[in-house]
Amino acid sequence: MSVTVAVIGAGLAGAAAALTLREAGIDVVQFSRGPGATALASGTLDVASASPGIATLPWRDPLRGRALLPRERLALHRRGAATHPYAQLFGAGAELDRAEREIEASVLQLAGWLAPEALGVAGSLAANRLLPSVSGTLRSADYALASVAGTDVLQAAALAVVDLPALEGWDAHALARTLAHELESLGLFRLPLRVVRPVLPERMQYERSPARLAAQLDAKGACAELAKAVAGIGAEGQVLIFPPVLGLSASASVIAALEAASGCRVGEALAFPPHAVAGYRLQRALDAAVRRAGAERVDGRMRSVVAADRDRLELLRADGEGRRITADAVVLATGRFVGGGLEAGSFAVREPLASLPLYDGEGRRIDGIPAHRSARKGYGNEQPLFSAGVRTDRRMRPLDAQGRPHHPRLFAAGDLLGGFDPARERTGLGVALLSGIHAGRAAAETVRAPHQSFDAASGGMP
Amino acid sequence: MRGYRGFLREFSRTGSLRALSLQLRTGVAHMARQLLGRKRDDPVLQFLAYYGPDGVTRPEPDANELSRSATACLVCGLCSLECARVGGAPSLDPRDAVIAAARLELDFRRLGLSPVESVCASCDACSRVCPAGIPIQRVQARLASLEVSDATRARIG
Repeated sequence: MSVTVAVIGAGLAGAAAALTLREAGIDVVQFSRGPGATALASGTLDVASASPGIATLPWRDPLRGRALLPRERLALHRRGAATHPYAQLFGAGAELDRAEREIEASVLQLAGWLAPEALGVAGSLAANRLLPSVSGTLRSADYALASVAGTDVLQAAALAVVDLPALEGWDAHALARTLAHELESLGLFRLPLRVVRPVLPERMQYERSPARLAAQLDAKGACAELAKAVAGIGAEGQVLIFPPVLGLSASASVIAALEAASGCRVGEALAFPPHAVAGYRLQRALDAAVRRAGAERVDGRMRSVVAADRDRLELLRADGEGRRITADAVVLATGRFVGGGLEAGSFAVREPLASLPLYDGEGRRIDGIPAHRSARKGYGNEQPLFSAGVRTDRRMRPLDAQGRPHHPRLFAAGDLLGGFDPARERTGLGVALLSGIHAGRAAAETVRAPHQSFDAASGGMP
Repeated sequence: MRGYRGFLREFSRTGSLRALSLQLRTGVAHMARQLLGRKRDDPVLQFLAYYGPDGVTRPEPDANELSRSATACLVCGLCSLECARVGGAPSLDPRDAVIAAARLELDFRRLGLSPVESVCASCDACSRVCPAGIPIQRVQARLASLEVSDATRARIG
């Protein structure tokens, strides 16, 4: 089997790369072993959230006490670590405008890809959003999926948490208590906050599984019944905080129906696994967008990616038919430990496909030693393992141990890029989107360029 | 053997007959314990004798492998979302089976979880979305293949 560009990984980074390549008119085959971290996302899509230097108080200026705007945090990012993927994506120069424009364009592009699946993206770099999670903690975000963006407490005149007593993992009273404490401890404002308990139709009243309730609400009839139950429940400017159950595939229409009936803004609380419905929706919408764009999808595990010669790479699949594949270019978007892009075995942390060297946030080599050896003791300490990943050049090509591109036609995107800790900085999906688009563009240019001239430009590859 | 070596060391160190008498005493005590003590069965056999009626059998390599793969469960819940989306039975949650298998198959029966065999349509949608690559459907089938005695059913209630 021979393909033009192989994208390995189907999360946000892989999908962004594949869609960018398809828009450039290039044939793409996407290989995936199943969902990864994107499908477990909470629904926020941060590009410039917490900065490395102010990780403990991510959204406040420590000197002036005022909330930092996303674009100010982005500027802090750029002054920060040189190992961060943003240093490669935006360059080290002082053109902040260019970075902002690029972020805005990328988010617009994502919104365009997701629009046919009725999944909206809201947000901007000029304003903060504070979104409550299912446990009641507040989380700052610049961009977010529309289903969770509605709960922004900075935009609310009053808050009401919807109580569904039978539902697993949802305790409206505990959420309200924690949320009240959070609002108070932030010291910025106090909002009226209460718990409302709609009288639900009988078949929803005893449903304990969020997954099944969400699947029920996809049907028009069930959605209308719930809308009737919340009719007139709140006032103008109030925000109704729902558990993440508002439809598996029809979330936009469910939310619209509930908003029309209740007269309030309606949104879902940010959820983490096992109830991360927002991430599941995002993953399904991305899969559909890639399919619609005409990229071929092959399921199964990949075993290795090696150089065939200067212009081609050879991929070996772990199973299935057509195990040996040659590609003109390969985009690695395999993620980290959840996605399978990195492995932490008993003896070493490694990148299983091409054995690329891995670096942590401080630029130290981290592969080849056991995971526990790099761990730091103490709660809250930065863990080098959490920022492990490959290093790339400006064209998103992963570097070998000598600092040269591993192969002129091998690209990397998403969480596989090292030098940042997505859990701490909360920029996992933001980096995935931007780097995926970058890698897709670089791969498209490479495939299009005549081989001769490209080789001359890329310099001394063995 | 160790006792014998201990005797030699003690004998060469002290050169006395005290070591010899110690060795004799421990040797006799050991033999007496062997002869008079209660016979102990193999603990695995004991376990199986006790839980056999509940359908617990000696682990097989294949089942072991399934159990081991189930311990990789991240409890991310994607399988339950996918099961609900494709219209799985109302009482089914694939996580139940995976978690039961990851602990001990016994738990599945003890906890009185919904029996899988009657509700799972074996569509394998859950296995395809599992980020940990667990063959969820095979795990469920394996659990469903365990027989439950009437006595156990009565105990579970």
